[in-house]
Amino acid sequence: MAENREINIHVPVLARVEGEGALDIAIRDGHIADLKLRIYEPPRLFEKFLEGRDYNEVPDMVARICGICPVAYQMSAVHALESIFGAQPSPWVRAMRRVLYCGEWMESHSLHIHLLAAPDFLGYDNAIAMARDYPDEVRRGLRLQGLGNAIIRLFGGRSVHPVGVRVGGFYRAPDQQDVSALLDKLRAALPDAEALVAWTGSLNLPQDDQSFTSVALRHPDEYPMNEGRIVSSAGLDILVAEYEHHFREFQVPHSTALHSLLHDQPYLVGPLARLNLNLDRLPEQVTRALQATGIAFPSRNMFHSIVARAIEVYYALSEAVRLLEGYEYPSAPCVPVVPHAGVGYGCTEAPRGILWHRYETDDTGRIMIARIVPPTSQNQARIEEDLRRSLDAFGLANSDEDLRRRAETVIRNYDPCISCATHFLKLTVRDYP
Amino acid sequence: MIPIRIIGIGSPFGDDRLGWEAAEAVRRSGLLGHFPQGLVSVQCCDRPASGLLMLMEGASHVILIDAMRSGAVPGTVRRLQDEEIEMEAALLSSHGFGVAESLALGRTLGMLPARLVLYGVEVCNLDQCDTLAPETVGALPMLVERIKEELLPEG
Repeated sequence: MAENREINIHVPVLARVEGEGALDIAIRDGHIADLKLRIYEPPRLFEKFLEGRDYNEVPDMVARICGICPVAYQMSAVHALESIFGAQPSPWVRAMRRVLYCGEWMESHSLHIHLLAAPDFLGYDNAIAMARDYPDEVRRGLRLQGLGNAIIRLFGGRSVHPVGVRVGGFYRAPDQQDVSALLDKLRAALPDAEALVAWTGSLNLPQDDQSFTSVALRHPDEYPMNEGRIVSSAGLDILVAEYEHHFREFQVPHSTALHSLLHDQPYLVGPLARLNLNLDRLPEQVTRALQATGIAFPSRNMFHSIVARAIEVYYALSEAVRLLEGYEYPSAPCVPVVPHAGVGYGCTEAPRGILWHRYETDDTGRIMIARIVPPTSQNQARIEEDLRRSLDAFGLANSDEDLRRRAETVIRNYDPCISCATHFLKLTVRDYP
Repeated sequence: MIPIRIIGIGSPFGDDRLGWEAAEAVRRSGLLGHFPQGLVSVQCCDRPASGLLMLMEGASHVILIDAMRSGAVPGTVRRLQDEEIEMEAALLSSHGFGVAESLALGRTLGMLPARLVLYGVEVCNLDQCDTLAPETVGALPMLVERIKEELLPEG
C-alpha cells in the first residue's frame, strides 16, 4: 500500500550545505504534491550597503558576502567597475587574477568534494566518520584545499580577507621568492589532483539522466574564469551586459533568496554546466584524466558534479602552475583608474557558477545602484525541478529516511552556498561533577 | 614551522570579529617579546572551515580564540582544552563545516597539535557592523592576561 500513503518529509535544517536552508516535501497518492526548498537566511542587504560608497571600497565590501568565495565577488565587481571607467588591466594583472581565482576554485571544490559530498556516495553520515576509513583521501583533499588557500594568501594584503584586490589590479605584487616557493609546492601536488579525478570517477554514483539547460561563460581560448560571453546548451550566446534581457529574477514566498529563470525556464550554473560547455578548453593532460574516468561528458547526470569539481581542481592547479612559471615582478601591480559616471556589468565564474554584477556610478565613482545575482539563487529553481524528477526516478515507495537522504544528496550536487555571514560556535554548556 | 601558534578565528560581522581583535590585542601586548623569534606566532583567519587544520600543521601548542554563543553573560571567557572542545561545541552546525567539525576531523586523522586550547568569548552583537560591542571589548584585557599566564606560567 506504499503507493497510497501520505508522506510529509521535513528537513528543518539541511546539513552539509553552506548556510541555513530547509526542505519540505509532501507526497500524496504516489505523487509529489508539493516541494519547497526554503531558504530562511535573512535577505542580504549588501546591494543597499554599497549605495553611496566610493568605488574603491567595493572590492573589500563585496568580499564579505561569502566566506568561501570572496575572490569571486571581488572579480565580478572590479570587472564591472573597470568597464565603466574604461580601465584596461595589464597582461600581468589579467594573469594574476586568474591565478587568484584558481586558488579559490581549489579551496572551495576540495572542501565540497571531501567534506560535504563524498560521504553521501560512500555511505557515511559525515566526513569525520568517512575519514576513519579513507584517511589518505581526506588528507589529500585537505592538502589541495590548503594549497588553494596558500595561493589566495600570496595576493592577500591581510591574512583574513583577500583585500589585495583593487579596481585596476592589485595593491601589491608578490615577491619572486614567495612565488617560487609556492610554485614548487603546486607542482608537487599535480599527481594528487590527477588522482583525485580518478577517485571521484570511481565512486558509485547514481545514474539519473535529466534534461536541463547548462549556462556558463565561454572564452575564445581559455577555460572561463574572468571573461567571456554568457552561453547556454540551448544556443544562447550573449554579452554579459545583455543578461537582464534574457534572465529574470523574482521572489517566491518560501525563500528569502530570489529565484531566476532563463527564458522562463530553470537552468544550471556551476562546475557541471561549465565543463559541459567548455570541454574543448581543457588542456591535454586534464582531458586525458577526464577520459580515463570512462564517464562521457557533456553529462546530463547531476551526480557527475563531483567529478566536474575534481576536474576543475586539477585544471585550476595546472593553470596556476602554468601562469606562475612565467611570473615576473611587474613595474606596477595595477593600472591607473579615472572614475566617471556610467553603468557597467561584470560576470565571472565563481566556484558555484556565474556571478553577475551591475553598478551605476556618479562622476566621482560613487556607487548609485548595485545589483548582484549570485549562483545559488540562479540554481534554486533547477534544484526544485531536479528534486521532483530525481525522487520520482528513485521511487517514492522508498522509506522516508531513504527519500530524505536522496533529497539531501541531490541538493548537495549543487553545493548551494545559501549564506555564510557568521560562523558562531554553538556551545551547549554542561556541568561536570 | 613555528611550534606555538595563536590563531584568532572570525568574520567581518560585528562581534564575530572578536577572534581577530583578540589576536591583535595579543600582538600589541608585548607577549611575543618574551620568546625567542620564531617560537610563537599570531595569526587571524576568516571562517577557515577545514583549512584550520592546515593552519595548525606542524605546531605543538595551539591557542584558538573564537566568538562563542552559549547563553552566558556577554564578555564571559571560557577555556576548553583538547577533547573538551569537540565535546562541547555543536558537532553538526548548519554552517557546512565549522571549527568543531574541523577539530574532530583533525583528531580522526591525527593532525592535531599535542596541546590544543580554545578560548571562547561570549558575544552578543551579530550586526553587519565593523565594531565590537562594549561588553565584548571589555573582555579583551582579561583574555590577553589568561593567554599570558598560559604561555608564561612562571609569571
